Amino acid sequence: MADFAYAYARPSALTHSAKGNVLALAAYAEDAPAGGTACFFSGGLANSWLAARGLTTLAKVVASRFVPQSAALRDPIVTAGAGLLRFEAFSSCNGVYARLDLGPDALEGEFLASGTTNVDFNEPMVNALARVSRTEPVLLRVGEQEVVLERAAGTVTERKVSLPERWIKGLTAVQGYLAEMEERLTLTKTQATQLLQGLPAGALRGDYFLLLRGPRPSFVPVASAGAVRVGGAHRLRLLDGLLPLCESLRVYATPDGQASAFVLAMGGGHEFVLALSAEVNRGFSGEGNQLDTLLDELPAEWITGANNLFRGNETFNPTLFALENDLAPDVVDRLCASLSAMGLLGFDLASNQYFYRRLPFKLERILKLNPRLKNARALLEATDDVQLVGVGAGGRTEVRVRGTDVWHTVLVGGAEPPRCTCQWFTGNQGQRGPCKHILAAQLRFGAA
Amino acid sequence: MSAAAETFEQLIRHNTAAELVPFLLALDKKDVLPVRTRARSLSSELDKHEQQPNGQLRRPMQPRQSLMLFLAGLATYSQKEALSGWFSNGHHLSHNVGQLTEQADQLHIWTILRHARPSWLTTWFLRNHRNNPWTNPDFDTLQALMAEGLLEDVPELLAYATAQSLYLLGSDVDKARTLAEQRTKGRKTDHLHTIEWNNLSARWSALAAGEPLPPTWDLLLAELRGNDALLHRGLPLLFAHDTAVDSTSTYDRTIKPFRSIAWLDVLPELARSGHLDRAELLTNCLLALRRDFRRPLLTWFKELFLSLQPTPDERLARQADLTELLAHPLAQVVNFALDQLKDLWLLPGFEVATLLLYIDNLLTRPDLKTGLKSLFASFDRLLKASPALAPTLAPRYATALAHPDAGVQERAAKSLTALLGAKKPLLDAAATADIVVTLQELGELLSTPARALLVPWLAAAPAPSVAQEAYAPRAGFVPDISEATAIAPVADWHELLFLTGQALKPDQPAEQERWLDGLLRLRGQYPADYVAQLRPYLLQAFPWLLKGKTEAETANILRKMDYGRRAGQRDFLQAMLVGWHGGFAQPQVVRTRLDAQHQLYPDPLLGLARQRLLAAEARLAPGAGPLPLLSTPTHQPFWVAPTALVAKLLAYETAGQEPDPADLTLALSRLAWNAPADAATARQQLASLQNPGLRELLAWLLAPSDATPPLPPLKPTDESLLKKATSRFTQWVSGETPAPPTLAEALPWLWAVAARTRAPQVSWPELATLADYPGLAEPWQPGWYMDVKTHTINQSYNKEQPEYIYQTHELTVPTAEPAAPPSPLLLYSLHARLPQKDHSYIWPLLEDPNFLLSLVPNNPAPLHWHLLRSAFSTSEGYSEEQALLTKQLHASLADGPVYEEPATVLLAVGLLYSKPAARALAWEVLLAAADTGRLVPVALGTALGRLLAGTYAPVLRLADALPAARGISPTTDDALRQLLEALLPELPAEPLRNTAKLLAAYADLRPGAGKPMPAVVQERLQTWQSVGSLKKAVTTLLA
Repeated sequence: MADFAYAYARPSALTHSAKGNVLALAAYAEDAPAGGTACFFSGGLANSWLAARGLTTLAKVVASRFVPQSAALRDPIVTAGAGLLRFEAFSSCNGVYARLDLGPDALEGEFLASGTTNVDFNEPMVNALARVSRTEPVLLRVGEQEVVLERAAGTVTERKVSLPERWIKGLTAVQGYLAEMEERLTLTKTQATQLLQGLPAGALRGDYFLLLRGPRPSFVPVASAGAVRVGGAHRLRLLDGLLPLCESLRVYATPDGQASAFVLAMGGGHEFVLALSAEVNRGFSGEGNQLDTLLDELPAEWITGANNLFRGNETFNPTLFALENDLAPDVVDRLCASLSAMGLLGFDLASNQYFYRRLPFKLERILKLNPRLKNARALLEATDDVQLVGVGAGGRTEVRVRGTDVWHTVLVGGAEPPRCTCQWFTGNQGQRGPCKHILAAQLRFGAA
Repeated sequence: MSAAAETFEQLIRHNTAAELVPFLLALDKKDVLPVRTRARSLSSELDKHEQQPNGQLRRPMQPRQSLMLFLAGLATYSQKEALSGWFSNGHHLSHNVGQLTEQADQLHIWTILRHARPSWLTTWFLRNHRNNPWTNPDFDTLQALMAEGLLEDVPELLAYATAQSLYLLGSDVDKARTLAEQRTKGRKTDHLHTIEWNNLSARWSALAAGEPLPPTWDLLLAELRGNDALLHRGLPLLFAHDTAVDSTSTYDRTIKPFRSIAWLDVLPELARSGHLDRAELLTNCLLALRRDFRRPLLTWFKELFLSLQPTPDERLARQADLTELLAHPLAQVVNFALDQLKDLWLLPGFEVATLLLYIDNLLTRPDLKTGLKSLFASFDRLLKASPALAPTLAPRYATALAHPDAGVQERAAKSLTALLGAKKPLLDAAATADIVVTLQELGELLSTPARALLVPWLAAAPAPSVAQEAYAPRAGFVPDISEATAIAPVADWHELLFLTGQALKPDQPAEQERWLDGLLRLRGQYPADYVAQLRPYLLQAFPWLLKGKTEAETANILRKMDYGRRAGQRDFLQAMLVGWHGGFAQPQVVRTRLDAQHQLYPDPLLGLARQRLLAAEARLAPGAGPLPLLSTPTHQPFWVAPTALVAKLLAYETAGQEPDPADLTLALSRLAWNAPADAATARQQLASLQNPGLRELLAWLLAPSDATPPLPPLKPTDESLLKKATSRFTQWVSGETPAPPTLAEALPWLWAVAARTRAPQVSWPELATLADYPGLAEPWQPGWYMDVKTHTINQSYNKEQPEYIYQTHELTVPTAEPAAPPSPLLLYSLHARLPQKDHSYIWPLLEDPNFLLSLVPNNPAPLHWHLLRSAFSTSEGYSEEQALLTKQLHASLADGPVYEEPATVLLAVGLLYSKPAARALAWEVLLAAADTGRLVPVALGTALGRLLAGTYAPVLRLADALPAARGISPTTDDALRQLLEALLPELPAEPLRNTAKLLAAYADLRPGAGKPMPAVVQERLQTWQSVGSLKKAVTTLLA
């Protein structure tokens, strides 16, 4: 699959002038308004030092990798809307998601348009961000007011960045996990400062569990009641520059412990979210936590309608949305999963709301970015690749699904979770979403 | 076929670059693609190594062809071809290859570059740089490419090339000297050396004139001073990019010993001579320190700053930059900044208010200790100069009392005490009240020294926790044999099928036991197509053999299956799977072998496990009666309920079958003999058992736990019978003779197993009649000691030191001369006299530790001794040892009897191990054991003390973790106190480094003891009282 290519008219830069410092983030919006790339925001930063610290940490996340991997990218996505600027990024290995939210209190400027764009985080700009001092005023401009995308060989600085598809796949999985999460711990400023103290040095294999022992936050390698599972906990060291600056820290986790999130309330409308996948070698892009929800295709016009509505509203609470529109909760879940499968929805833990990203509405991305679902549908296209063996007690259905060189036994339906004899299921036991064989069986014979 | 391509090929094969260049310059646009394609195919052909008749490999590409294909690539390649592997390696723009390229050829490269202007050059260089920075051009070449617009201005490349330039320069100087020397001596030089000489002498005219080069240091400085672009464009980039500047160096080989020359030597010298701006260097260092660069690079910036020896005025002028460093996540940077600021506080022009903004985020940072103490000293000086600052500083001292380090707390408390107790009050009543409230809120977080200082203001604060509950190890352990812990058997075919995948994973004994049980119990319920359904799991087990094979091919492969020589439990189970796939018509487990491979030896317990599976496979064979295994656990984690065992034995008698001795041995070792209710029921059922020997044995083993009956007299074994039996057993385990011994033959050994299952540490003189072997009459308790081993390495190449001698301190478990056990059923004796020299047992321990431990839940001590001996002689193991330790520690987390000695020593090893993750896990085991009563703190403290005294590990590894373990519960505190009271007397009179930290932890735990300090501890403390670093702590403790 080809990557999406983004081109910037010029590099982002922190420039110094007599009028003050200007942080101009070069943008490339895939879903750009007609007439060129818009300027989404222009104005001052209420606490430029704190914002710079957040952006620097975001750059650090993007540059990080926790498994051997190719070169890093440095280009976060920024979404302007509902009075906030949200900078989002993944680590190169896709197992860490980070978001810096700059709320109304953090911004002193004007939202000229709502939109989502990639912003160029180049090395000189990261360097300049590190040099912003506490008392230094900085103006922020996301996008450019006069941009003409053209290539004049050798004269205009233009940089193309390949945005991996796994970023959009990752966004799908992350919002799914964030929406499921529950708040598990709240740490004070002092406790937040001490968060990493008990973390053993080096890269940690296996799970660690965060708990409060007396007043001290402790990471321990053994599960216990009330402890929060944190896979690859050493990845939290990405936060070491921000933890002493935060006012409080909230820890969230999914009920099944497959992802955790750390929300740093930085004060003054600054909030930083760091979400971790279950294990270091599990990128969010490989999680299939939304596949069950995507199984039943919704009519395209429903998805289009929801997209138009959310695009206008910019944020919404799924429960209230269901009540207001007299929709069953599972329909809302499926709508959200379909939209997020295109990267269109994110989730804000603080407000318990989805927020909208203005990315292209491309229904074909749902299948393209979910290869397991695509492969399951491909299995159904052949006449005899998915065969019913029988239906047992409680609707438990036994199916044979063609695999590579073998036929897999698949059980779906009934009260128990589905099962398959394939390697993926044996290795993951359903924790990373169903395999293509289970999906194919469910598509043909029903999930319930 | 393109004529241009043909011409091109001829040129490459037979001509030179000089003839190729006009061809490429005149190449028509339509011919670019055919020439590009031909260039690729020729590159591929010429780059391929060919085997010569003499067997050697040769690459046909000649240097001239390599250059010509490079030129063709520059002229015709698109980005796709340019980024292919060959084109990026050793290209002629890189410094090393360029140095060996004739000047005329270098001109050819530039001619083609100027003509073709490849648009991918920047991308290509960046890609090369990220893959292998050594392939990139040097700084001057990059500058020249950028100057001509051939390359975009990429600071990243320039920065790296700048850092590298010192090494390249030094390397060129060395080459020049070597070649000049060769020429002086009249030695012949090859073609490449001639080119190199020409290039170097074109650079340094002295060479061409036959004059000696100046000293390297002078030459380097002269070269750098003469390179304006490098000085003013390149060097500033070093402060904005992550480069190798910190590790780049060269050598001056004209003086002996060789002098290393690094950027840290060069840059201050350039500043001294005015070629670099000193002020700019100082500022750049501080700006670079703000970044989250690698730690060594940050250290380098710090050292550069210090090497410039900035004056107070220079630092004062940069107070904003220095202050900004206080927000850095790395303690080394913050400490550096605090150190640079400390003598500026009282200078006019210093902005204290700005500094305090940053300070607030430091006061509880656990990674800052010395820096904070230094900060408080600065606060004190400031307060002395400006008492009006007291209301500003007092809350900050109070905040710092929440710091986890006792030393920082004490220092903050000292300053706060001085402030609160000043003769002339410095705070008003309201401010003082606020501070007192803060102190009371801190409660138990305060360390003993801080608390002692703040006593006058803590009167209303809650008293420190007093250990009301003294810790005592549990007296006995009763396994939970109830519905709550019962293991549900596999319910149906589907569960069995899907469990197969789990059972075949390594070291999953619980799933494996259920699977085995399911295989036997559900034999009549396999569906007709079960073989086809098993096939995915066969493929998962043997992908390298079965992938892409048809059914017939699969069957053929499985018929001749070879499981290798060094088998383990997983291999046995994979063999069972293959057997199952074949309907158990052809036994497979017997094909597995437990042989040594190189110096890796199998665990002897695996012999029993294998024999048990042989028995299971025989019961699954067509026509056999599928009776269940006796040793299948019935209750978690691996207990066999007495009633279940008796019921199965009765079923065997009903079926007229004799139990397998290996299976029965393991059933005895897993028997929950001391589960009172179930054992009582089982005793009643024993009357129905027909076999008198078994009945007597089980009646003895299941007798009430409070009154162990004496062993019956066991008949002395006839020497010849013993020898015969031993021989048969050996054959039996090795698989040579599949027929197992009879129950009657095995019964004496089963008595020995039963005795050590019920009373592992007791002397059983009655067993002496069976044989004289560890684990029979006396338990195998080898003990341990720290041994100093001297190692000598011969290094004949080093004339000054032909022998390198060093010592290691190793944990040693003494082992008697190797001797085979009298029976392989004696599972508590099997490890006792295993050969040690050149024998390694770590692999089976690593692959199956949980399984092996699951076999001996009543008496794991012999296996623990073996583990200790085989893997933990030092605390600096490789990842294998760490993995093994982790598994062992995880296994220790479960509830069970009090830790025996080797388990305690293993825990001590964990607490001192080099890997922090292993230590963290060991602490959890300690805390869990203190909770369940398994911990024997005195034994653990003694073991830790002996290990530390024997320099098994530094004290800091233990001492650093103690503060975090304090205050979890009064019982845990008491256990830790007991531990330290056993540990301290074991330490040497000459105190080890960081003993003070142990004393600090002990001081925190002492107040809750409720009893006087033991005399041995007092005695040890008194010997340390004269040591300066310990005097204060000891005096406080002894007061």
